[in-house]
Amino acid sequence: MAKSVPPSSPADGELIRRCQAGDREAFGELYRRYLSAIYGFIRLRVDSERDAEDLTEMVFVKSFEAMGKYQERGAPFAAFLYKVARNLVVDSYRSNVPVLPLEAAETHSDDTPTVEARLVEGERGSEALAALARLSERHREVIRLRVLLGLPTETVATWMGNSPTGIRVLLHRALKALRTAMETGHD
Amino acid sequence: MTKREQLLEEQLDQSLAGSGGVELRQNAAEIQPLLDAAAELRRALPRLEPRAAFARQLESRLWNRLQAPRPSVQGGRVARQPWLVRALPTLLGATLVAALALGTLGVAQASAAALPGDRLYSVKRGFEELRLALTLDPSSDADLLGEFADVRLNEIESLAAAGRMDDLETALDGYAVAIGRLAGAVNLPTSGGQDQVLDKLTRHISVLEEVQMLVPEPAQAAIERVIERSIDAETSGRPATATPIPGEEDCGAGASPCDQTGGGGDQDARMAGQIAKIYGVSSEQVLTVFRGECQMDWKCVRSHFRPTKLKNPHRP
Repeated sequence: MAKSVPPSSPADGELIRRCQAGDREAFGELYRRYLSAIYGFIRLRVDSERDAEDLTEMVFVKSFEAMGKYQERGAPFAAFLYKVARNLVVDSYRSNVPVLPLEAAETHSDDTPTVEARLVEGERGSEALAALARLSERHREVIRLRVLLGLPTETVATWMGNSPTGIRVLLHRALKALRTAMETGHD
Repeated sequence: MTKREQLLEEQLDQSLAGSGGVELRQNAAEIQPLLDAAAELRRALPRLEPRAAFARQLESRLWNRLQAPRPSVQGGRVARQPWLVRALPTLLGATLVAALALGTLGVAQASAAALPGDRLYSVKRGFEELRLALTLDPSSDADLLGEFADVRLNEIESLAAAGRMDDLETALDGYAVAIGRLAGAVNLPTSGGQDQVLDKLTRHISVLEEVQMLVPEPAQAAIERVIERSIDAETSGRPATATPIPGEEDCGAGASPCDQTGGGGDQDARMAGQIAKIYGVSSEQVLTVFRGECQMDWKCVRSHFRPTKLKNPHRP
């Protein structure tokens, strides 16, 4: 679903430098590289397509405007995009549901129906989605990013602040936990 | 990493790429149920791709926005003025503060968008101090200090985005002062309650970490110092309150479960939830560290979960 970057493709830093020099094509490539991943990341967490589009636009506006002065100094641009997206999703929960604790932005209580939550409740729900909802947040996150969004391990590692090896280990444990949760069902 | 984890990686990649016929290898029997679970998850979800029209329109809007000139910045820097011209804002500020007392609120609005280094910035700060001085109610004091801390944070974001690093230093100094004053007001009654002040600090730390990723190394170090200040303010306002279950009083190194009921436990759970959200870990992991190696010290917990590159911005 999300684009993995072929080895021959220019790195983000190179694209950003070209963007800063006014290269429209480089801008388009950088934008398309992350649009699906950021949109999907947000879409999983909000209830409507419209909300997901609005938040996606805010992520790219904020990030690309900051990009004018961006220089690669160890913090990848993709990690910055992810951080902005996460913060905006949390902010959206704050503004839409003022009394909702911050933690609910991650646990997605009944007051904050998301794609995942609605599918668990609805006809299209599956045992796998219900099981996913019962995992720890870190296990859910690695499954969302790696399995549902199809992001490469290296990107997931950058986003989650871990090493690629750590992500492989985490994913293995997360899928085992998912399988166990599917087999045991609701308590 | 074990062979099973490597095999899972390879087979998952093949599955995501839509290619079948995965080669049967050792450990495949254990891996297959995990791949099946992953496949079932993907089947249950709707399409998560953005609409093509939205993607096209957003790309066009973004490009146009990026090409638009920024009127407040000249080549990334604000042109320096002679000292007399630079001193004028201070004099003007004093005059305008007096004018505010007579009801000229339009000037306040005009200076509201000023940033450190801008001519009207001292006017803006002067109005803020005046508002604070005119407040008699302690809860209004706390609300105002929270509002001003938000303003200082926005200034940092704006200056970092504009690449005005000299002025960013000034903004960070101003922010540190604002946070110190806000921390002093944590115990004052506020319209939103004490938790609102602490939540604000938590949010600020998250935004500062975001800004830190955009600026050059010297500024990263300066932001790190301000983040430490904010963490001090945030964590000192959230005393450790967990109470042990009778018979399981040792919530320390053994990380035995502690009671999460009651007001103290609720506060701990809430703080744990916020830290978990920011750093992408579970609340249980946070509470385990809090009660274990950090011995009920939230500042220690913060440091434990912050990514290494943010803890040590100078380290490659």
